[in-house]
Amino acid sequence: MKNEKLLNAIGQINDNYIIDAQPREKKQKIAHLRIIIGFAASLTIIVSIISIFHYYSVKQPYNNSEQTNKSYNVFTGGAGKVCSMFLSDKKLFYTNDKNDLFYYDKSIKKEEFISNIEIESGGLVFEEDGFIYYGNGNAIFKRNLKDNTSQQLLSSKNIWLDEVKKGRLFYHIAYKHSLKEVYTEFEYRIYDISTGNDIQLFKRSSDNWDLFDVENNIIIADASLENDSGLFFVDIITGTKKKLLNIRVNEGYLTDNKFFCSSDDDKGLWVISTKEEKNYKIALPGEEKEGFFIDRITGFDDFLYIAAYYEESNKIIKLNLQTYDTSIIADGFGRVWDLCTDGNVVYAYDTKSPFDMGQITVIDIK
Amino acid sequence: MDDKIIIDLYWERSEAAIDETSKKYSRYCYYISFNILQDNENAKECVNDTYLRAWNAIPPKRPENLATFLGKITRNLSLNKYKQRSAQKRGMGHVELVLSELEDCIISPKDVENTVSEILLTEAINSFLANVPRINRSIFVRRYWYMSAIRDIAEEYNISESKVKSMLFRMRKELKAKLEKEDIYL
Repeated sequence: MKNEKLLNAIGQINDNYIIDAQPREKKQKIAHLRIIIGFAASLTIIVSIISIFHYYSVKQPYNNSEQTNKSYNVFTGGAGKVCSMFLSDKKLFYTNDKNDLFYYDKSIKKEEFISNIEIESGGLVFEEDGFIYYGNGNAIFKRNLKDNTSQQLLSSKNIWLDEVKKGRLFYHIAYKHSLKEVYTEFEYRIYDISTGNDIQLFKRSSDNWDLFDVENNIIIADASLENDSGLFFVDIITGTKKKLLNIRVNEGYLTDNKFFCSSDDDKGLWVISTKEEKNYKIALPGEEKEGFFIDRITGFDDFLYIAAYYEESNKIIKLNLQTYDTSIIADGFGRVWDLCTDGNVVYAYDTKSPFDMGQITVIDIK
Repeated sequence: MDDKIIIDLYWERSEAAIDETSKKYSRYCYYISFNILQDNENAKECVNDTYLRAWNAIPPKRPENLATFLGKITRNLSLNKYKQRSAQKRGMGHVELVLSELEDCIISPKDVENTVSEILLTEAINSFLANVPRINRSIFVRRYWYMSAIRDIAEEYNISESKVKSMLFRMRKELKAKLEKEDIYL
C-alpha cells in the first residue's frame, strides 16, 4: 500500500529529527507505600535544596548595566502545567492542564484556586473587559472573572476559538473525514458578542489559517492554502488577502500597524508593516549564535518583551519600539511557553525539561 | 554507560552489550513498540528481538547513534508483527489511523512507471522536515515515526489536541504539495 511506503520512508528519516522528538519517559509507579513515603521525604529535601539554589542562582536577574528588573518571585501553576496565562485588570490569571483556573495575588505573592472550568486541556483562554472566552471543542464559553459564572455562547461539533478582539470572537469549525481521527476541512467565522451576529470569514475548505493577531479590521495570520502558504494580511471589511512574507512565522505580535514576528527560516525579529510595503529586521542580542530562536513575544505601550533562546537558556529581551534599543532583563529560563505583561511586571512561564511542571516567574520591570 | 562503550562491547562480542543496551534503551524501545502494537507481551518480544538484531548487525556496523539505530529496528520489527497480526483481524487500530492520515500526502501517479523509490522519498521527507519549524517537525515525527497518540503529543508539548491535529493537517498538506512539486509519486 502507498501509505505503508510512506510510513516506511518516514522510518528512515534523519536521526537528528528522531532524537529531537524523543518522548519523555513516564516514571513507573512504585507500589510499596513505604518506599513512596521515604522517596517523597527525600524528594522534599532535594526539591527544597534545588528550589533555594534555583531561586538564588539559576534565575538571578541578568547582571548587566542595562538591567531594569528589581525582584523575582517564582510560583508553580497549581501543581500542573500552565496552559494559558492572561491578565485582567492588571491581575494575573492562568489555567493548568487539569483545567483549573487560578488567580495570582501579587500583594501576598500567593496563587489562589478559583474553579475548574469547562475547557479543552491545553486550550487557549482570551480575556477582554473582565470576561474570559474559551472552548472545549463542543462549545465556546464566556466566563465572568468577578463572579465566576459562565455562559455558553456558541456550540457545534469541533468548534475552536482562535482570537477575541473588541467584542468579536474569531473561531473555526473543523470537519473530519468520516473514517479518520484528523481534520480535513475548516470553516472560519466571526461572532459579535453584543449583537449575536455571526458571519462567515472563510468558507469551508482545506485552507488552514493560524490567526496571530487582530487589530481593528486587520487579521495577521499564517496560512496554509491550497496553492500557497506564508504570512498573510486579511482585511475583514473588503475581504482582501495580501501575502506579507513567504516564510513560516512561529510567533508574532501586532501593534500600531506593525507586526513583529519570528521565523525558523530566517532568524531574528522581522517587522512587517500592515500599511506600507516595508519589511525590515531588528537586530536582537544573540541572534548570531547557533540555535537561536524566539519562543514568545508580548508587549505593552512602547516596549516589546521577547523570550529568545540561545546558549542553552531563554533570555527575556526588552525592546524599545521607538528607538529599537534592546536589553536583556532576565536570563536562565528553560522553554518559555507563555509571556505576558501589564507594564509593571513581566510574567514568564517556563519548563526546564519535559518532566518539569514549570514555574511562573514574576519580573519587575519598573 | 556511554553508547560508544556499549558499541565496543558488541564489537568484543561481550554479552554485557545486551545487558547494557537493555538497561539504557529498553524503555525507549518499548515505547516505540507499544505505540504500534498496543500490547504488552508482543511489545516486550519485539524489544528482545531488537537486541538480537543489534547483536547480529554490530559488527560489521558501527552505528553513529545507538538510540535511533535501535529505535529503527524496533519500529520495523513492530510494524512487521503488526502486519502479521492485523492480517487476521479487521478494524481501525492505531496504526490504521496513522496510515489513513498519511493518505492525505499521497498523489496518484499519472504514470505507474514513474513511482519513486523509498530512498528518494525519505530524502524528500528529510528536506521537507528541514524547512518546517522545530516544534512542528517534532510533532510530525512524534506522530508518524513514534506513532504517539495525539493526546500524548498535546500533553507533552503543552498544547491542545485540536492544535496538534491542526498542525499535523497542515504538515501533511504541505508535504503533499512538496511531493507534487517535485513530481514524486507513490
